Amino acid sequence: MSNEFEVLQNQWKKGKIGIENTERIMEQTLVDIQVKKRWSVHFYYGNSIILLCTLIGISAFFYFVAPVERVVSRIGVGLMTGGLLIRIIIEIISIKKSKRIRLIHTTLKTTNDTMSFYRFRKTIHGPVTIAIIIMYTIGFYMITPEFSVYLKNWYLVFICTSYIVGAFILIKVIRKNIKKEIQILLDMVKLRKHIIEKT
Amino acid sequence: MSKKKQQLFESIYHECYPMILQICLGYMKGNLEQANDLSQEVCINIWNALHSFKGESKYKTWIYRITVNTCLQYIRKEKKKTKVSIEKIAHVLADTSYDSRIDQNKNLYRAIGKLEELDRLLIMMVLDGQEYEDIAEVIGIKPTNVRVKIHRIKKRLKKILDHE
Repeated sequence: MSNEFEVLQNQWKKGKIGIENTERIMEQTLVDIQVKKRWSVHFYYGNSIILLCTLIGISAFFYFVAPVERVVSRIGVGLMTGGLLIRIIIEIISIKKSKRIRLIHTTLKTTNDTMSFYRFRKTIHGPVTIAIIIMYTIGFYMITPEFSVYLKNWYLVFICTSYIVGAFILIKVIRKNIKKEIQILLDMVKLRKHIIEKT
Repeated sequence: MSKKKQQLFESIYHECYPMILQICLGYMKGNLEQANDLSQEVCINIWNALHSFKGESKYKTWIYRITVNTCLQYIRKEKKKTKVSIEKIAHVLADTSYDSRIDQNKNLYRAIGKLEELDRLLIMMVLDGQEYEDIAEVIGIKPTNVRVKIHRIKKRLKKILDHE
């Protein structure tokens, strides 16, 4: 078998000689690096920025446009903005954790770090995200009685219905992401098992 | 980008790109388009990690670690990542001799592609002439464990090649 493998090794080496570099590919790679750098900044901070803008928008609305007066409504606003704030903090922690996955480490360590990241994601996607959605929803419906004093009935029904539709779409998207990330976690567990198995 | 960093990257690129592309070809079952995309990803990760190269591990071990980890992470990313724009690889496709060079090893790449993901990378490092100790340093397991794994993979690869 060793002779046969030497033949394969020679074939492999010949194949490598055949692959030559060109300046064109090198230049393209340097361009790609710059594009990727910009993309990764958007990828990492995009979610947090959107959530932060939403938080500022909601807070400004309740502070300047429609300051609520009832205690129940104020608690509702607190729940809505508080939920968003918790989500932003989780996003930032998630970014920090993902940056801990470093490709210069051994395969085993990188796999362990990736597993730890996806376990964290599984937790935040599951109970924490559900808790935040519930918090936000309760907060939203705590405000509606006070809003009903100022808004026409049909407009209030429209707002409540659109909230349900929005929440349904959001839950669908979250479910899809959870499934994808759980699959990655399962793959990583399998890979780790394969790395450390001795026979 | 600093001149020094770019020079270091260029020297790594010229020396290691054939090795990286060949590993990507084996990992992607001989699919040139996907292998090109993956090798670009490896190069980008090398660039991003250049500042952390302290010379504690061998220079090649460091490149192999990034290559192996990128390959294993890549396949799990968004499916859109496996698609590559025609413009991006136009220069490669235009070079007709490129394909024929890849063709020489196509059967081998395809056979390697039938192995499990980690096994593909392990056997390609052996084909590339790496010692078991060096491979162990890349993967993070004991050399004796690498030896056992390689022995088993060689047998499996032989079986696949015999059936083709």
